[in-house]
Amino acid sequence: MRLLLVEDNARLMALTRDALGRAGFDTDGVTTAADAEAALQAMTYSAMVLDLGLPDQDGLVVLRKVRAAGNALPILILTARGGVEDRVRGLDAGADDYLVKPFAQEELQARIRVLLRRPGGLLGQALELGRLRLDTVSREVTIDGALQSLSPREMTVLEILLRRAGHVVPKSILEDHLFGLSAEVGSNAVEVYVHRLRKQLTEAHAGVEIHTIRGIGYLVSAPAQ
Amino acid sequence: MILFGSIKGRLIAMHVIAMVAAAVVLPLALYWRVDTTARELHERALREQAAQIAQYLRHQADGTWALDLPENLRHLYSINYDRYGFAVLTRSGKVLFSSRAPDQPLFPEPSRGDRPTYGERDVGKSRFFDASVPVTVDSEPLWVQISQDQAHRDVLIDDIVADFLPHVAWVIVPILLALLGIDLLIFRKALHPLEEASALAQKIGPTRTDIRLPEARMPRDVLPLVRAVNEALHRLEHGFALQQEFVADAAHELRTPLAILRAEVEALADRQAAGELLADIEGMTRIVNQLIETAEFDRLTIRPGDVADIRAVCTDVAAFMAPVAVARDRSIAVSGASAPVFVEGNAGALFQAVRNLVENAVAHTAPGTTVEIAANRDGSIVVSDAGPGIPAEQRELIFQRFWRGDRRRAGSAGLGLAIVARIVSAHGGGIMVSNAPARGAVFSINLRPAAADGSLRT
Repeated sequence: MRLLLVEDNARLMALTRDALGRAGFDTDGVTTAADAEAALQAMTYSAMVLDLGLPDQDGLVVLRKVRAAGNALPILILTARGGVEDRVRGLDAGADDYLVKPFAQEELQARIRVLLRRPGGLLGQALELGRLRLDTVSREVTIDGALQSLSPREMTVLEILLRRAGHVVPKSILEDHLFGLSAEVGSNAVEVYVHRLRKQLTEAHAGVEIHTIRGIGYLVSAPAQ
Repeated sequence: MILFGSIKGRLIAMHVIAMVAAAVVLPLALYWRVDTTARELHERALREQAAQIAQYLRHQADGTWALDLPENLRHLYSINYDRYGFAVLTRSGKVLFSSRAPDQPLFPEPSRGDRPTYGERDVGKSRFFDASVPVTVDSEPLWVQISQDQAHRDVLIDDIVADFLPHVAWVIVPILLALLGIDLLIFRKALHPLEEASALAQKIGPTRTDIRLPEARMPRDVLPLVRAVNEALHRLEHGFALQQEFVADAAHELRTPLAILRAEVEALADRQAAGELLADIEGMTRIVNQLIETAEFDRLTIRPGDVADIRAVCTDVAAFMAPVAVARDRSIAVSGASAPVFVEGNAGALFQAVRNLVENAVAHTAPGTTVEIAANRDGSIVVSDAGPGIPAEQRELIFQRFWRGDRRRAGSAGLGLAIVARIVSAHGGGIMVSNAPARGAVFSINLRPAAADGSLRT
């Protein structure tokens, strides 16, 4: 799994490459837009991390050329430009994600993993958090390797929450997934499933917590320790 | 000229002086005029009396003169009546007839010209008004002297003259006051464009450098000043924009070194030291971000037609901040309207405003508590927490730039609430802070509602 890192600051480049290497990503680093284009021609990468403020050209130009060529390469923009308009411009130009400097290496790695897990992405089908592991193909949940039996709907709720772990999942999305367009959804049906799921995970010491964000939805996270 | 520093003050002051002068001079001038007219009328009456007497003079064949006054005239000039006297003199000064002592003139004949002369004379307690009128009877030039005792002067004319001042003064003073009032209105109208421009100019400040004074309707003599001020404002705005750009650029430039620093610290073997350093780096990052936001929102203007759904804004902020809050063992909840609430505004800017409030609340409350965000149907956004609340004496200060309640707390530039206040004021809205009855601070942002379909209410 090879990544292309385009970053004109040599020091940040070296540090980020080391950190990505420790996380198991082989990374090629280039410092200019021209070198980035040459590298993309020569190699096939799993994903690209792209700085925008490059010495020879704006990173957005590189991004647009990649997309214009019909290349679906997952691209994460990593830049000092953090304004709302900047983000919108970057995402509109075809970026898959946008991270503003300064950033935590862990977050960069997590976001790259999310990009690689998307359809067509290269990571496996397992969702992991805390001591919990959910295999999206076999639909098995294990806690520290021990199988945990969940109902199909509890499984669906857990899968959706884990896919957006650390982020709020609106209640309406859970409703849509659980009941589709069927009309007879009890107003507290989702609460009931989440409540049951939370109880089982707590009893099994799964090391994850499902937080209720009242008025919006739910968020699953692994507490420190 | 401190007392009358304004143009209006000066105009009014000078106008009042002119009015007072007019109030004094006008009655005096009129009095003089009336008095003169009365005197002229008087003189004419005496001349006519002289001419009347001359009618009854005849030059007889023997060279002597005869005077046949009718009864009523004789009575008029009688000693008993004692009001009028007359004498007829030749040009050489010989007295032909006299109503007083025979052969005596009423007064020494002063004139030797051919024009009537008039004079006044005091005899004892009486004051006499004299006229000496040249007449020609039967081709002989004569003088007729008429004398009137002032004590018996025509009462009507005297009254008019005597009463003139008090009466006329009563008329003139109100007229002048009315005129002053009208002039005040005129001054006000004439100076209105200037006052409008002044009111507008008061709004000019670091957050509003886009204001220009209106040149339309401005008096031509003030226009060069207004233009010069506008040009100066233009140069200032440019300079200010450069400074803002500098701050934003400088803050941007800090992001890459911070990223390097952070990457180095994250790679440290000493995890405890790394954790402390990372907290410092996060504080610096927050300051850098606040500087960038400050520069960004200083330039924020809400374009007509910009509409934002504050319920969506609140939901987005809650979703954005929930991971942060959960990581710090606090929670976030959204309440209020169940349908979209549209206001005039910029959703991105409002997001940053609410985010700053929520970030603040999460930072200042105890673990286990919930920060409540509500978007209400009246266009208000309320962020309430269960923290210690804001002391009443600090509620104005907290919105000032670089204000910090606890200066020992690192990682805060004290810009967050100033950014919120700036965004709200750019929306023409208001922000209020109070304490909840039980505990905690309540921040309310009031915005202008737009129509339910998202179009602007007109």
